Amino acid sequence: MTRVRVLLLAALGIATALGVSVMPAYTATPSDSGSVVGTVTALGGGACLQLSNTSASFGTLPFSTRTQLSAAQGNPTPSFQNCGNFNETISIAGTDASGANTSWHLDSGFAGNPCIDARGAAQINVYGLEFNAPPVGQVRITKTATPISTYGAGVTTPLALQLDMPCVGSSGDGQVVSFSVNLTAAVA
Amino acid sequence: MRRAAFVLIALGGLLLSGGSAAADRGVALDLGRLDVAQKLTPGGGYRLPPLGVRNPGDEVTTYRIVVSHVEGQEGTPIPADWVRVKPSELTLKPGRTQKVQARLNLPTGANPGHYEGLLAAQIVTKGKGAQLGAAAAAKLTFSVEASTWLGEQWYRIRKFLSGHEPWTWLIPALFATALLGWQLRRRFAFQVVRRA
Repeated sequence: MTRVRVLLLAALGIATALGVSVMPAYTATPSDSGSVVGTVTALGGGACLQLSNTSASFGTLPFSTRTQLSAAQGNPTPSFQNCGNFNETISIAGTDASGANTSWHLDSGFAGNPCIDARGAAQINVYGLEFNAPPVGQVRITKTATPISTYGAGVTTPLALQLDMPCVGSSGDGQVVSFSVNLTAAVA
Repeated sequence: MRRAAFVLIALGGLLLSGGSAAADRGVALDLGRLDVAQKLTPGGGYRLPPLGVRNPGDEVTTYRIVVSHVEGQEGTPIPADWVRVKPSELTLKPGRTQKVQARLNLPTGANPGHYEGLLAAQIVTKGKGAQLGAAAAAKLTFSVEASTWLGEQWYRIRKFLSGHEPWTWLIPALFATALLGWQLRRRFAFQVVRRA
C-alpha cells in the first residue's frame, strides 16, 4: 500500500511538471496608476533622417521562371541623409507586397531563383528585394530591421533598390502591387 | 502557364503629383536614447520623458510612433503593447516640433530580464505602389525584476523547462507511461497469442 502511495505521488509530480511546461504565463494589464520613472538617462541630440528621390519606378516586369530571374532596379535611385549631429546606425526592412487580389511574401531565402526554395520545393507568390548602399554593397532585405551601417552627420547616401519578381504561376497579373521599404535611424 | 505575365511596379510617388516627387521628407527626434536605470516590476506603469518629434523636411508629413527592434540586438525585444504613446499619430508642418508622451505598462506576467527596443517616429506612407519610408528612433532599454523571490524562482523553472523542450515533457511522459504499464501488469494478467 505504501508503494502505491509513492507511485501516486510520483505520478502527481510528473503531472505537475507537465503542467508547468505547457501552461502559458498569466498576463494582465496593470491599472493605469502612473509612477514616474525618475532614473532615466535621456541623451539629447536624437536621430534625424531625411529622404530624397523617394519616387522611383520598377516598370512593368514579367514573372521569373525556373531558368530566368526577372529583376529590375528602381529608377531614379533614392537617397537618405543623416540630418542629425551624431553618427547614426541606419537599419532597413521591407514588407510583403499586396495588390487588388494578390499578396506576395517577402523572402530573403531564395538565391537567384524565386521558383525553388532552399529545399528544392517549388514556390509561388514569393518575391525578393535587395538594396545597394555604400559601404555594404548588394544585400537582401528582410522583414526585420537589419542594420546597414553607421553614417556620419550630414552624409548623404544613395540607396539603390532591386526587385526580384516571383515565379510564373504567382498571382498579380496586370496589377499594381504595393510594398514598402523602411529605413530607421538611431544614434550610434 | 508559359505565358509571361506582367506586373506593374511603380513607386507611390510617381502616382502623386510631380511636386511631391521632388520633395524631401524627413523625421527627427530630440532624444537619442532612454536608459531606465531603476529595476521595473511586473504590473507597474511608468511614465517616460516626453519625446520631441520634428519635421526636418519641406512638406507636411504625418508620423506614427511605433515600437520596434533590430535584428541581432542583445536584449529581449520590447513587446509593442507594453508601450502606449499619446498621441500615437501626428501631422507636422515643415520645421515644426511636437512632444509625445510615452508610457510603459508592464503586464503582471512580464518575464524578468533586460529589454531593448526602438521608440520610433515613422513617416506614414500613403498611396499605391512601392514606398520608401523613414523613421528616427530613440533606443529604449530597461530591466524587469521579479516582484518576489518566489516569482523569480518560478520564472527560472519555466525558463529551464521551455529551454529544454521537448525533453522536459517527453521524459516525464515516458516515465508516466512506463509507470502505468507496470501498474497494469501488476494488477491484471493478460497474454497475447496468435489466433489459431
